[in-house]
Amino acid sequence: MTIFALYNLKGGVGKTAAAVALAYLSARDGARTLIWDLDPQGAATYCFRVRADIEGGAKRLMAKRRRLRGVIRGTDIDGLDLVPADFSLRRLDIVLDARKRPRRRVTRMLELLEPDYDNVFLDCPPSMSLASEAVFAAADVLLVPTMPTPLSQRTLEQLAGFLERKGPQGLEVLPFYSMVDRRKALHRQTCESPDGLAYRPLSVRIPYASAVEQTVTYRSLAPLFGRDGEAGRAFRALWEEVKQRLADRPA
Amino acid sequence: MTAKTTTFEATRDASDKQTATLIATLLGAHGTVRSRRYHCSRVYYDTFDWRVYRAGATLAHEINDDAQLIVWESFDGERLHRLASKSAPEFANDLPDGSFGHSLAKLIDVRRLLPMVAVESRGTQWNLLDSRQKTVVRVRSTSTRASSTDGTRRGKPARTVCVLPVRGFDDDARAVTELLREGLRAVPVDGTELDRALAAIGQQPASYSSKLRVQLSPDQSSDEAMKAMHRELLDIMLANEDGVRRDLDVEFLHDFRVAGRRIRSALTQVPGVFPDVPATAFKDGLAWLARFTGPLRDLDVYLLELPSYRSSLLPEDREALDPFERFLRQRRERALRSVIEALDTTRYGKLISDWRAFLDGELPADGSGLNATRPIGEIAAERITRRFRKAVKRGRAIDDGTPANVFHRLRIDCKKLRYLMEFFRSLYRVEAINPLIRELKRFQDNLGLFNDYEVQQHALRRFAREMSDERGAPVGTLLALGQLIDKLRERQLEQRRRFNERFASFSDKKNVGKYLTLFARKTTGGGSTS
Repeated sequence: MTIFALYNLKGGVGKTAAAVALAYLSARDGARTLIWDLDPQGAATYCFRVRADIEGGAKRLMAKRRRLRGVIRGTDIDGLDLVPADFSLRRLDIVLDARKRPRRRVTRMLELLEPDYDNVFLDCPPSMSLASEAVFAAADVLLVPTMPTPLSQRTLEQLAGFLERKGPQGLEVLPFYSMVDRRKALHRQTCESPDGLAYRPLSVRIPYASAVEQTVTYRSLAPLFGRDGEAGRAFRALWEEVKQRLADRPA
Repeated sequence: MTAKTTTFEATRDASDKQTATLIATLLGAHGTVRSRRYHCSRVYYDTFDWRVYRAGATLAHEINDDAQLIVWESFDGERLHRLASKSAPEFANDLPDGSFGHSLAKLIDVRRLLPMVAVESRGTQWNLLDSRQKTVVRVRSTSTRASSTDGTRRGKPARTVCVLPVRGFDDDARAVTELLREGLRAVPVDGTELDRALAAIGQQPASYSSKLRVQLSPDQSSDEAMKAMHRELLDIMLANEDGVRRDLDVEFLHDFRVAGRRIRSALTQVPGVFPDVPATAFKDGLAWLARFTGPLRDLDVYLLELPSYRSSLLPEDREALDPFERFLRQRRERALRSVIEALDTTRYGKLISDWRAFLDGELPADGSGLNATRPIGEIAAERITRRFRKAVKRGRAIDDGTPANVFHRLRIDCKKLRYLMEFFRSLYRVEAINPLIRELKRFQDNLGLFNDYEVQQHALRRFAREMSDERGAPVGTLLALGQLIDKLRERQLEQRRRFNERFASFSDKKNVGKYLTLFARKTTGGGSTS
């Protein structure tokens, strides 16, 4: 089982769209895929038309490892399941803090699903908190959608600094440019000169496209993948590149 | 727990269209429904000995409206593994590295996946939606037709209605199942689509096993009992012949040989049951055949061992075995040709047909050998006890200075004992005989490995010599083979160290007592004990 976390300290960078698109492509490969919506905003849950509601909320869910299995919902996509969000996830830090070894909690819960899924995608809230640390500990790959602007790059540096000090060993950090608007000179320049960044960004860039917005708005992947649009092609290429980077990783 | 898929057989008096209309109406009363055409073709795969099915699962390559994939499902319809792929794998290692490939390798090992039956389904799928327009349950009504994969047999079309639950929406699946059960007045059917498809083309799943399944009773006359057993052994042997000829996987030859060896063993170890003429001729014929199949099996074994040979060497030395692998493969091609030529001879054809005619023929009324009319229970007990005593006696004489060939003889004793116990397993209580077989097997593993390492050392030396004579093998290859011989010697010593402990548990008072109790009682019925 490979665990991918979609994460950025900054919000509004196309994180949920990427999580939904990549999870969909993973399921299309035939991999048994789970997406866990950890963001209290519940955007991924909304996309899959599932009610953002977990009985007993985050506290009850995190109390027993095996409860995770019970809240899983099948999506309308063959091979793709979802753990829905819940508004109480906004207090996930407090829930985790009350537990022993809070940073290991997400890892330990997902261990029970090892036989059921090949790929897991964690859609994380934009913050740097105990919950993020629990996600970093669980993840094999941290996918960081990054807008090509100086401010975004700065948050990437902050993340790198944090992971260097406190991050788990062996976490593969893969930033990629997201919401790229080629009409903007700043975007073009930033994408062309990724030197000096802590991590080499993936070569595929996700464009700023209405198809991405429509996918979330209409709660359907058809605008993205139904016709062969630029954004859909970019996500396909991104998924292939991610898989390639993992395959090339030294054993 | 996720609800299971429920399948109904639709009534034959309603047309597809009528059924579809009825389903749409029933579902429509329950919520919003979206329908689409559905088309799916599947080919089910399994190994010759049905390892996937025996593990409670099915494996299929599926082409549906959206995707092409390999699907591994439990009998409940739960998807254990899936993978997008334009074709089915032939062997487990054709799958990419991952949990699917690993689980499949564990199950089927070196066996080839063979197409068992094809199923073509067409019809309609309805998705029942909730207030968010989210699918909560799917219903499929299809006309399904099974056919054999060579296209020679086609089943009658069957109409089925399936309720497919969506995870986390079990209540909806249960409600719809109930709705359709009442509305269609249909009964849920048991079994998987594979079971139904095989039945439709007149086949049975798990129809072949290399294990003996014959049921004997202790009072049966020996000639009758042994004939029944020999018929089954011959069936097992011949069932593998085609796979040997087509070189489908290495297990066909192995099972073909084992069946032949068991037949010879049964003829030697249970003497005086059949007339001498067909029995001896068949035994000799099988020995002649083994002279062709033996070399091929040996080469299979070395090729199977190759990955473990490689990994026992330092990474930089592993490539040195490439010329050795090529050498083995060329030899194997030749050995396979010889086997096929032997199978094509009239001698082989006559051998089988004569033996078959004898087995299918009438038994002489007065029996044809000394033991022919004695009850089989008596003979079984007598032979097993004798063989067991012999093995224990030989084992006790072994000490630190005993040469390897004595271990080899003991290994043969134990193999014969094992065959006898398997031949006559049905005469005894399972809970009494199975633990004895298990204990024997543990001991045989030790002896088997000891002997394999001995034989492999000699064989590698011989191969090295031949490679060097025939084509001047690279020095690196010869050195690597030398290293392997050293490793094999070490492993052999390890097995020798284990021998005492294994033999002690095989020959201790408790185990001997169990043999004597289980097999001595039967000899009280009188008759000769040799």
